[in-house]
Amino acid sequence: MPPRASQPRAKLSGQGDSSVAIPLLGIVPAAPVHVSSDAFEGSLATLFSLVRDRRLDLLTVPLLPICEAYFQYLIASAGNSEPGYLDEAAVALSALAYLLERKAFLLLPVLEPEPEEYEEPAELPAASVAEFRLAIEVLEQWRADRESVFFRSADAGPDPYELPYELSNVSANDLALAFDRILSRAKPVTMPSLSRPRRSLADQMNVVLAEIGDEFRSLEDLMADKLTVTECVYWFLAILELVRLGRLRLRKVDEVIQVGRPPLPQARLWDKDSDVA
Amino acid sequence: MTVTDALYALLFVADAPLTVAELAAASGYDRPPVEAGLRELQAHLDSAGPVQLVQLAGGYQLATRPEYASMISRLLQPQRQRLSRSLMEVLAVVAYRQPVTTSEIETVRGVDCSYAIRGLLERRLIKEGGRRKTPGRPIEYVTTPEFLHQFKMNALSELPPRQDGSLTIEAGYNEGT
Repeated sequence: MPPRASQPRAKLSGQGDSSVAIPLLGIVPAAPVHVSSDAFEGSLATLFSLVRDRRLDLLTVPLLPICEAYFQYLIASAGNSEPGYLDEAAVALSALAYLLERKAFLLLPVLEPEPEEYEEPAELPAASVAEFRLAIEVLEQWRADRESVFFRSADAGPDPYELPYELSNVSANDLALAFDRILSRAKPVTMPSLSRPRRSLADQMNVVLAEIGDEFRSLEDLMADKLTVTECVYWFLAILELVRLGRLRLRKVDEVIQVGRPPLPQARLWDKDSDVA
Repeated sequence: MTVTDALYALLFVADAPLTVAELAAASGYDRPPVEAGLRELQAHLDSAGPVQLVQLAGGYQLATRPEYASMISRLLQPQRQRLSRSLMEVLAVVAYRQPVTTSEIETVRGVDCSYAIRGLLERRLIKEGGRRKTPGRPIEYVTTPEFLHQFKMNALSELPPRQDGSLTIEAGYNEGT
């Protein structure tokens, strides 16, 4: 059956339209395969050139007849012993392989790139503080009204539930002067050590209580000269804490501050109910 | 001892607004009698005396009446902290658009607001409310219960309307936290 007019054809040059010039592919001419289709008519080398330069849509050119014509060319040239024949066939094969690869690539399904989804940026508020003008005026008025009422403050000062402690006739200044004299007699710290373990004030309070007997003793005599400045501070803080807790009492005799234990049982105002019981 | 007396005692020693839940937990009563007791105590204090029961920052607190303000001021001599115009503007933006980032505040005001934000943070009127899940994770600012207390409000829903009459508080903001 003769091919239809629109059916592509390919044939070897010299078998019919043999007058078509065959361009060179490089320095070696390609095999004389002539292609004839609705979109293209010419040699295989011309087709190769046009496709390579993207001047022809390869999808419109069927490659099957070209492959068949090339196959016939190989069969017809089976006994050809002319020099350059193999180069000519190889160039045509390369051109045909290139066309097949390009067409196969073009026939691959094309994945439509999905439109990238961008998160809608948060709408920035308009640059206008005027909309708050009325609110600011109201808020300022409310704040002024609020300042006319008073609440119980969270800052109640020193612990309001601290019980008053008894210092008898000893003032804080007397204690400070006594402590200053003690420090002036104390030995300097000879070997400061960063790794010295922390001392507990409670332990020091026990040491002080063990040292003080029932008799009142001079505060300065109590802290002997052998104590260092640091030890003097520990002793003094422990004595202050014991006085605060009511376990030691202070008195001043001839400008000398004495410390001693209060008489037992300790009668205090807030123990009256328990004494009665 | 009645519920009203118990609530009066608790509110008397409290130095911050007490919620109904806190009052119920401390007094040992359920919420309905506590709420009824608060109403009764408020009516009792409104009838006479220098003290009133006010609802502030999501709770109840005892306060003096305004007519005693002058003599109390003479006694306590409180240090009033004035809020400048810029601080008030930033505070308003945070109050209405919280949680809000620094860049959003600056977009509204059109000027750098870092100084004002720092001032409001130091006054404990605003605080950091977390970080926004956007590039850069900017800090979000929200108002504090101290803000409600300072401006005599019980909740953010009591904010005055803006110029356009709208009141928009971002959903999900846990009020008073």
